[in-house]
Amino acid sequence: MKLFTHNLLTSSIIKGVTKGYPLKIVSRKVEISEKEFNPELIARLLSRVEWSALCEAAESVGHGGDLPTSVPENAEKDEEFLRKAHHVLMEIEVVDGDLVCPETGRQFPIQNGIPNMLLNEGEV
Amino acid sequence: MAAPRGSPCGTQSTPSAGGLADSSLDGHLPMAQLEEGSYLCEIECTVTTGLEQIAKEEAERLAGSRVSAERGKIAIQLQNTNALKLLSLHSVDNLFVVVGRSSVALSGEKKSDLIQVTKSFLHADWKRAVDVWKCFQPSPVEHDLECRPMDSWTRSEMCSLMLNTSQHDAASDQPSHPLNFPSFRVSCHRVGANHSFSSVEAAGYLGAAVSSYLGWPVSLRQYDVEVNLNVDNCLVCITLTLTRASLYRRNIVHFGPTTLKATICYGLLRFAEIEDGEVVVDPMCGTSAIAVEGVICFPGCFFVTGENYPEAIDRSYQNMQPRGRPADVVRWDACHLPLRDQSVDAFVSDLVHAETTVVSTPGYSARWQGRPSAAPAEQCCCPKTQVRCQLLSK
Repeated sequence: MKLFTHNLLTSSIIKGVTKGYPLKIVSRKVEISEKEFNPELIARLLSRVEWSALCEAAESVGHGGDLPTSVPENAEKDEEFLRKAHHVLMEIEVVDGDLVCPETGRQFPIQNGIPNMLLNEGEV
Repeated sequence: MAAPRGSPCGTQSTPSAGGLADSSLDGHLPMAQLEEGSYLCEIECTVTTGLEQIAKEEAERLAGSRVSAERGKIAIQLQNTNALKLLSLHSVDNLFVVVGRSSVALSGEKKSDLIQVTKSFLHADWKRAVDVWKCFQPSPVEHDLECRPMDSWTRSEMCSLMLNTSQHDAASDQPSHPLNFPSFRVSCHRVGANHSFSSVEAAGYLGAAVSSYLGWPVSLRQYDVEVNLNVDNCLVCITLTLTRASLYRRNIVHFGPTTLKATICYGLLRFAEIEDGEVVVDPMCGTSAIAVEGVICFPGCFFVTGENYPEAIDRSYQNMQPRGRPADVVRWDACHLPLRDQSVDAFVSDLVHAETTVVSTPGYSARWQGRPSAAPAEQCCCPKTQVRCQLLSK
């Protein structure tokens, strides 16, 4: 699971949860691998990203040090910033771990990089 | 090419050279633009019905020349040296090089109709068509196309060709001709209720003529060249098959019962008008066929695909390897999408297959009433973008 995908996920589907965002990450295995840098893609995806949630997620997997606390002005032209964003959004993969609902503590396991967001009967 | 004179049956057939050097064809590249030593050829591509317009647009962008579309296929005229480029088309299933097209007046008498259908093509430029065919072969083909002049064929000779056909069929698996001629078979595809002949008869007649005219040995099972005789009422077109395996098999390694052809996935994504920088979600992805095609053809987008069925998840995982692509697989229930508001630009999915599978799964049928509700999808979408769900009809 890439951190970009984590940034889109919420546990608000659980009955009784109001926001369910951002999900906490408990990681047991994280893989870093170089991926092709596409500055246009990163620049456009930035409008979808909740930046503070991303920073929190990057921090929790041990790779948050380099990120600014907010998206700078003219980010789409700032290559250095885009490379940092690319690294955090695309190159960090949580292979094994859990996503945790911030309101109920309910855990959603991640196996082989695939988070399991299926609910049980009573949670719907 | 001149029409044959003194045609024995008094019918008129006008062979065209299939676009090869026929300046009467509308819309092809002017001769002045062709590189020296090259020529125009016509390539036909089969397309899933409904995606012809998508295929036409893709081919026009790639080939830079005029493309015509009709039900189930498109025809592209381009310089022969560029023909191999067409293998990179994402929206077509198979490629064929056109040997010739003709309109034939059929009298209703079997033997004479068969002769008319066959004879008009013996003057077409087989050499050029075979040269194009050779380019598509994985290993070089040594073949010199020397043909006996056809001007002297009489009706009785054509009839005796038909008799010889049965001898060819009996020896259909003989080894290759010593002069390295390719072996061939003829497949006839016929549309029309009033033909005096059957597809098998037409294929046999053309096969006998090609064998005598070009000297190629017939092999019904282990053939090098597949010659297609397409008869649509009185329009006849002969093509050679260029693609051994269909192009839609290109992406997926691990198939499931509902895996879409790559060409259909491409068509769905084109219909959805996906743009760079968009987040595209397939909420019932099966084996992730749509996302696999998406990351190849739309590298400027991020794909998230989701499934609840464990075997489909495993197949999706395999198909999405290596994980270098901007995409992820999530296990979720499409009725309860765990996506935050305004996070998705487009949903692209094969809902028909998904619904069929879901409705038959015990425990799920109660939730589905007709089509799945689009409400969870709408919530996830950005306010400025419409929900672009793709529904396929079976």
